[in-house]
Amino acid sequence: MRATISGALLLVVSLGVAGLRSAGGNVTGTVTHPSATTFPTLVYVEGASAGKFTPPAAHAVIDQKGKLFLPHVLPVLAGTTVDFLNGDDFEHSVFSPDGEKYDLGKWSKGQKRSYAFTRAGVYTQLCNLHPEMIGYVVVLGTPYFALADQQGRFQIQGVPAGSWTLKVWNERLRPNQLQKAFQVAVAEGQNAKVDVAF
Amino acid sequence: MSSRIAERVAVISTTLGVCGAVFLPFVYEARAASAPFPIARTVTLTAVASTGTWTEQDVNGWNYWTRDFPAARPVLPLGETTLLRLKSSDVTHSLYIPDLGVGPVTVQPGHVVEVAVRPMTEGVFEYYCTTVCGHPHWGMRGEVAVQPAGTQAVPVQPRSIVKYWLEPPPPQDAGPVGRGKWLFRQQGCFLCHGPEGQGGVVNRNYVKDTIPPLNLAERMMLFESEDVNAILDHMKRGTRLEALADAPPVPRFNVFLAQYHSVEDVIRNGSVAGKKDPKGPEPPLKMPAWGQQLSNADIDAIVAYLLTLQPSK
Repeated sequence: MRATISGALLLVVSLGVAGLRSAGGNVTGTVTHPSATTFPTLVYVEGASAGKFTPPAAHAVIDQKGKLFLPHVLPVLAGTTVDFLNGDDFEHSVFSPDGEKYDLGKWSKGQKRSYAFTRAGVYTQLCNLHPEMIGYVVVLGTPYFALADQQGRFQIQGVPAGSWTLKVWNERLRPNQLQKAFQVAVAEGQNAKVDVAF
Repeated sequence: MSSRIAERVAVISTTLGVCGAVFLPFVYEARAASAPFPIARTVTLTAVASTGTWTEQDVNGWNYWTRDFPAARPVLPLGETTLLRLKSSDVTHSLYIPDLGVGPVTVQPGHVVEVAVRPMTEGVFEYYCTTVCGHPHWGMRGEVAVQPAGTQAVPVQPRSIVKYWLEPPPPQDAGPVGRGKWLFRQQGCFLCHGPEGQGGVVNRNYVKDTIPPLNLAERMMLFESEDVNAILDHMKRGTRLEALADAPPVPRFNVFLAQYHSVEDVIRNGSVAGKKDPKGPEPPLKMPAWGQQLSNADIDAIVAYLLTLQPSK
């Protein structure tokens, strides 16, 4: 009986610690750049190195349907495996000329190919049968990221307290804009607001 | 019977036979259809490869090379049977009206093919030729209107595409862009992709419904005109683009290069038009393989020209 109670106590305490550790604060704001209303825009906390976080065991998924990559932009934590499906009744291929470069070949409906993204970076997804198809897997060294909505508004949840640098990515930003850093101070349990204006 | 009479009979019957045989094709072409049901209308369509049209006009040896035949826009009475009489004035053609379940029907020169059609839906439907019959083939399409009986047909202005075949090639110093523009018209690319690469031509049961715009610069990550010009400068000088990988002239040059190879492969090898409804009819228009007709330099020139276009999305 005593053992059960102390076991339950331990469980409650450890849950509490885990809860505290993951609480942090939220970072909200709006990206103001003409491209942010048209193209999926990703905001992420920079500075956390790859390998520090455990990638999710569940695979992320990109479907190819109606000659489109769905979703068009998929942000993942480094180490995540992405399953590429084919929802069309004709063949597609997937390859990327970025990073370590890969070519998953061609396949038909019902089959899938997987690729584990271990290095941070932007991987352009192309289909060499249909050059009008373009998609992106953005591999980040941090789990603290969010896609902005069509008005450019975003919310990154559970960012640990501290001073952080935010960076922005979308397919139309020029290299110097991708380098631009936005500072944010996150306090425990608070909402930190950032104006991401270019 | 004396041999004299026999000789006369032979001469007369031979003369009649030889002279009469000349008229046999006309008798054959004009013969009435013996359909076992009432026919409300008969529409005669003649295929002309030189202008890329199915026309309702009379096509013969006197007018074939001198006239620009307008594309037929026949009106079929709703709910009644129309007999389509299909002829070819030159080579093998085919007629395909996916929405009315007609064909593709192969039509060979010298033969009349009759197809009875009883449309039950009012509307305007596209027809196509699906047998490659020459450069203008890709523009060999038009519309069939299905209207309640007694409605007037809409007159169609003759569409002239012949002028493009007569355009002389541009001078050498016009560079790849000038040559690409000439090839784009000469080869008939514009017939499906539009004169400015804007696409939009209806392709029945194609996954995208209409032919997509050729917004090549955007697909190749050349978002600024300075990026397009940087690539065109190298193409005009005849630089092998792969050789630029060490000192990329534009951002995301690796993606540009991958797309450049994919686009050239599609031009070279063609591309199947994916079906929207897998059980539906085959989309009538598809990208043909140009690898046999066009050299690598020609394909490069077409890509260079397309990079200068800014079709709206």
